[in-house]
Amino acid sequence: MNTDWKNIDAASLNNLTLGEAEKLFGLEPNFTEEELKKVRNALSRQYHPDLNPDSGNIMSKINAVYDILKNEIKNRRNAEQNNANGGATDTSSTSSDSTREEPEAENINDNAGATDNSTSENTADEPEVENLNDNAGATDNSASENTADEPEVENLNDNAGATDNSTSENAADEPEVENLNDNAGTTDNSTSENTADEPEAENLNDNAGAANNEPRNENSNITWEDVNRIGVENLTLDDARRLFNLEEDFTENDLIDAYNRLDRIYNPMNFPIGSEEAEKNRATMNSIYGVYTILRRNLINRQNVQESPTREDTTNQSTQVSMNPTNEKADNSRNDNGDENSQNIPSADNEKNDGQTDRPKDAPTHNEKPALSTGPTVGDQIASNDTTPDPEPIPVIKSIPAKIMDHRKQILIIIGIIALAIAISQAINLTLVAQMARNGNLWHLTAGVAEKAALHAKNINLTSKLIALKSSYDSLSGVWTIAGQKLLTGNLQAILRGISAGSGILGLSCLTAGLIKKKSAAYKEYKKNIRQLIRDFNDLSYDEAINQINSLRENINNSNELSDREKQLLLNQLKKAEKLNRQFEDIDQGEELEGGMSL
Amino acid sequence: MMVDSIITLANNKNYLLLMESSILDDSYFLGVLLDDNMEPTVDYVVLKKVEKDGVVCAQQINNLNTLTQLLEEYGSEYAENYN
Repeated sequence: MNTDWKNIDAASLNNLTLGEAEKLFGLEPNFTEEELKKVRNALSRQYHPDLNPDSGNIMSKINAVYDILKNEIKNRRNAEQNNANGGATDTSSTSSDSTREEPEAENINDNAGATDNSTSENTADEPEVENLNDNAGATDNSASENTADEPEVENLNDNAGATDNSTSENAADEPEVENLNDNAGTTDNSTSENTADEPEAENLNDNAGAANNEPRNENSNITWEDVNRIGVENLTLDDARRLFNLEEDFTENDLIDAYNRLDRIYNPMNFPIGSEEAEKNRATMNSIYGVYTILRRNLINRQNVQESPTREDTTNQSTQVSMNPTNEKADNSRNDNGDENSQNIPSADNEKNDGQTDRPKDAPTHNEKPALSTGPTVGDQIASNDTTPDPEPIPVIKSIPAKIMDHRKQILIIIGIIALAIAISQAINLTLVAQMARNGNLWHLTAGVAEKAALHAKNINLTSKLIALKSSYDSLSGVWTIAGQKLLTGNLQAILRGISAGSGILGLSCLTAGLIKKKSAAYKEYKKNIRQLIRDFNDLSYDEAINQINSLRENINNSNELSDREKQLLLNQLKKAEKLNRQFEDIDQGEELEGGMSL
Repeated sequence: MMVDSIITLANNKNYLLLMESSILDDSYFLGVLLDDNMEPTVDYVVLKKVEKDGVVCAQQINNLNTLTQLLEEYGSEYAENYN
């Protein structure tokens, strides 16, 4: 396997065939899962950004290829199971042969919700649709677009304010959007109802599956760039599903898989911290998280409704769903700006104005408790707190300026943010915040939240736990893992020490200033050495690190300058360092990784 | 209501306001409850500033969507100010 990962264009991976993926991984056509994991682990060790900071986004490319190969394994397994069951199954989705030769066709058939005609027309007319239906297609498609038009993405994000004025202004700058609309020449075979109901939409969005007997938004071909521009809150559920390449009856596992696929491509943590790519992908990753939330809510609502709604009902409901209760203003302003602004992504309010899909009063939204409950999970029960109305405002009777030292305020803020994150993670879904934390803005809090999520997730389900663990592995240094673990103990000083240990990232050395009693110079020196040793773990082998730990331990024990208490504290820290070293070793051996990836 | 101030509510609870963030035109504060000695406790809240009949009021926010948005805001603000 002599793949030059650095020079592989990430965009080219979008349309990678199975054969090509096998070549990149140096695998034979009948490769086994073990072989695949072996190669993947070897590549991880070589290119993982934690271990090789110069590797850029190579790991995301590897993951993209890995996904394809892993899906092949899954497909084979499904095929075997189906054969064992003797069932006449949809061979297009399970046959590895068809995957090899016609990957698009496979997934198109998988997704063929309506008729064969519609899929074939989609295939013929619209390569984008093929991509959307491909496993990682929706993502990859937009990924390449983002890559190609990065400056525009920035522009779009800058303009991604409240109203759709930006939509029309930016439209001229966006080849993707123009292309989508250019394809409107395709014969519109959508039902006359659609046409009649949505005259404005007649020439828009026809490209993706005009032959389907689906409402217009079902056919919209939206990219992540569009989402960044218009905001997640203006998406319909159908758009959200399309972006995640999910069918209407998607399961939790489908959703998680889709999220992970996107995450591997867009997570800013795959890029060097502070790099341009990381910043650019941060907006997309936030959008992905937002869409995930929409879909997750929909999933919970679906699970809680005893009688599954029909396809039509679901569509009608979905077009109404708005995640953001405050987006009413934005929608109003869009409508004020004319019909053009609503062309690609119809919002609930727009459709109301079209007079065709008034929202059923009992349709659950993200802010409403599902009407019927059939034994929600622990997480869902907590999530229902979402409906708890905010208490009545209480008058402020006095407000006085407070003098607070900077470092103290900083501590309070950190704890406050962590507390908020934990509260939300407990309330919504423990894994979500862990994943959100990975995405960008909260990356520095990931350890605590992810680990917290992981442990709590034990009580919910194994999948959540694995995701959270994987999340913590993917984005954390071991130092942060320790911080996270300490967070669990509820020991404030331990938390602060954990956070402080990561001060290389946060610059929080001042954190401990007011909380830890003054120590001797020797203590400080040893502590500094231990911290340095922890930072050096990435560069040291397991044995080298152990040797250094032992050497330090001996010095500490023999020191005359340290008090007994100080010795004890330092030895405790060495113990933690030792534990951390073991964790690194485990990660190196791919144990945690494989656990997470087995989802 | 402003950051770095202690507010006393009509229910006699005192909060130290740590961070401020806005969603549309509304201001939200990350605050920590103070005990009788005016020392921070472990109870954190998000308070929305609202005006009711010309009186400034604080409304505790429990809505998860809002909290999630604010969490991101606070996270980025922290990163900007302290990193």
